[in-house]
Amino acid sequence: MAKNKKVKVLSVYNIKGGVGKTAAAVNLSYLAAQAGWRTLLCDFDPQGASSYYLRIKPEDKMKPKKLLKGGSFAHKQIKESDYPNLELLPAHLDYRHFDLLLDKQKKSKSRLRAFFDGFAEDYDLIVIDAPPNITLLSENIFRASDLVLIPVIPTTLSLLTYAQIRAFFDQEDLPARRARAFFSMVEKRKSLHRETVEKYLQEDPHFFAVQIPMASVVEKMGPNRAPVPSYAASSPAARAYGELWRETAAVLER
Amino acid sequence: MKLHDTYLLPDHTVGQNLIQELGRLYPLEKVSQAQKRQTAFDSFDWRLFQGGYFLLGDDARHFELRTTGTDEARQQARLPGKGEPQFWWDFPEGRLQAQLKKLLDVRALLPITQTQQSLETHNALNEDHKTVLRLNLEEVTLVDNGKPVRSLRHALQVVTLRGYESEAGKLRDILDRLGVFPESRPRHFVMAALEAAGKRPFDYSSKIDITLNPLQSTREAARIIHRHSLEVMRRNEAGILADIDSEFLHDYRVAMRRTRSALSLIRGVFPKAQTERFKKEFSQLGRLTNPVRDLDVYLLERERYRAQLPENLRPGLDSFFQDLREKRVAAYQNFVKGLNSSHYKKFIKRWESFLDKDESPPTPAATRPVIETARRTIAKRFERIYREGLAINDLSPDERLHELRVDFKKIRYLLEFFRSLFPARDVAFLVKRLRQLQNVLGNLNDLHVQQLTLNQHLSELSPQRPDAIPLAASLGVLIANLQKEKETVRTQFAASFAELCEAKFVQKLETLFGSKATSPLKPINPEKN
Repeated sequence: MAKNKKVKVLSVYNIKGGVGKTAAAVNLSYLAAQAGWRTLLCDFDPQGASSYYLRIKPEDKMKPKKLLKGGSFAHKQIKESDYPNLELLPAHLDYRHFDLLLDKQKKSKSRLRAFFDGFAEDYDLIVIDAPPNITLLSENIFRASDLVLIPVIPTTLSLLTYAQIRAFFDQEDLPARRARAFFSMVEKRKSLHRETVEKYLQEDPHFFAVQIPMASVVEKMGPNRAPVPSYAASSPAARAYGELWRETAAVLER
Repeated sequence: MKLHDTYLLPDHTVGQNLIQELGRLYPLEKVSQAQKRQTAFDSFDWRLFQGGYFLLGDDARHFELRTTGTDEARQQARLPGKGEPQFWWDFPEGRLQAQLKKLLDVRALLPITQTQQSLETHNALNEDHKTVLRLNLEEVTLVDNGKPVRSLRHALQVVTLRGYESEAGKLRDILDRLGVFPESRPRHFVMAALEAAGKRPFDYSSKIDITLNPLQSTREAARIIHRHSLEVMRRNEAGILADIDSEFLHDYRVAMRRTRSALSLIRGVFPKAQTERFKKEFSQLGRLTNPVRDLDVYLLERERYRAQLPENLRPGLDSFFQDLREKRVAAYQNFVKGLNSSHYKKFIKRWESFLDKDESPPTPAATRPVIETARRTIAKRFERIYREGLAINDLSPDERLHELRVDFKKIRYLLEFFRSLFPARDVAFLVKRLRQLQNVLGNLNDLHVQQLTLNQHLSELSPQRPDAIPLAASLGVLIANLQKEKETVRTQFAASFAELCEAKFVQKLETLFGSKATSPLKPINPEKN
């Protein structure tokens, strides 16, 4: 049974916003659930875009401190999505207090893993839509994750932030292999995009082969409030997310 | 923790009226109407049920493992391709496959029930158009030979979504007021289908399950033991003839060996001439099954062998396995011919009526209470094992260990035959301790036999064959590996045997079967007396 297998934690992260992070988190969660993984998507980004895409509103009485303790309060915050095997821990503005909370606790850098292990019986996979900044919470997320996925737009600025994340992993003695990247919002017609992608795929072994295209079906996640493969299964973007999930699953199952 | 309440209804119209009624009180959206055929699967010996599961597949090739007790869905997957899955390796890699591998091992899946389910789904939505509750109007029909034969149930399912419990609560209150109440213990319709089809889970097990009365005569007890083994053999014949998986033949052979062991170990209960004749005939039958089983064992180990070889030698192995498969076809056909022969049928009938009708004059051994026979026989076997086992050292030839393995098997059978005569905990303790040593000896024997077969294959290999060189190279690697493995296993023997000489085990044997059982240990440890 899945019980004796440790729950896998996948986080999708970038310091920079607007790189297709939430779209990746939601679509990957949906695809994992479709593949039979009992999946919990944790929307830790206070903007709450993941929750919005799944049409889920948070409970009014959120108490971050109580949540962090795990147990029945944490479990009661979880909401079932419209899709089989996919549940959500909705976003809440109060998550911005997580940092203060974590700071006061023992083992403040690795407290979060214990929190996730509390869900081991109910889920095979926890996906974190991580907040876009470097804080104690993000460091906790890195330490708690089996895999940190970084969406990168093939532009100079975006690659600069990618280098910053790599440097942070190095500085904090986090295993380099734990962070993997993939190209996001790729526009094939732009030569800069094409050249950058080509260069990095050759030189940086941490990049997945898949490229998520810049596409209007992805933007439609907003008005549709649904994962891309649920309404445009055969679109190139949905297929790219499918490939992204296969590469991700291969790493998680190793 | 998916919750759903099932409300059983007398017919479909009541269900539709109910939905209409609820729609007036609650915003509902009909989302789908679907009809699907489902087939539930388990192995012949109910391995999924034993683990608390069954497998349900539908005509869209969606398969899920469900729990039998609480009716929850667990691992699931969609199966590519065509045709029904038979083994765990027919499923795509993933959690369902992993779980099936653990539960089924080498056993094949067989359909246990077929049903047709019509499902009309209505969703209750909130202001964000988020589903907060699902209503399923369901009709399930039992299908036999592809045709719907009888309605199993009409039901309304109220599916609660996690985090939206209050919505489901509201709906339940409404249903309460309408005077409709949920089933108290949710049960999957497959259970009803099994009942309606007259199938009982766990109606077959390869384990011996017999209850003896300590004071009944040994002859009566022996008949019960033999009838049980005969029943197991007969139950497996159809599966062998259909060549479904390797375990039908395996169970058949175990039952046959038990019969032979019981005939020779429980002495003097039947007339000597007849006993000898049956023993001889069972052993002929055993020889007829050997070639198929030996080849089955190899074919099952294919992946393990492959993994031992470097990539470039693997094609050589593939042609080895192709040869084996061809050999197996011939061996299997030969055995099936035997199984279908009138000679075999007459033999089984003769054995059956002998067990029912033999009224030869009882001897003292036949009338003795079975508890006495059990104690005496088991004590004698243990005595022998200690005598033989103590004499084995690093220089003893493999054959000595093989003889000891046979002795251990006999003890194991005796403990199984007579299990019901002794405290269950004690027998379990003995069996557990013995199993360890049995595994060591069993492994050693397997390695020995594999080595012999590979050597034989190598010596029969024609150098004219185009694949002779890669084939010989891969066989060479495997033979060398087997030798190394064998040496490791032999070193484990001494340690495992020493455990059987520990005080706790020895004392337990003496209390249960008398001090004769452990007599060979005494001259070595005189101070212990």
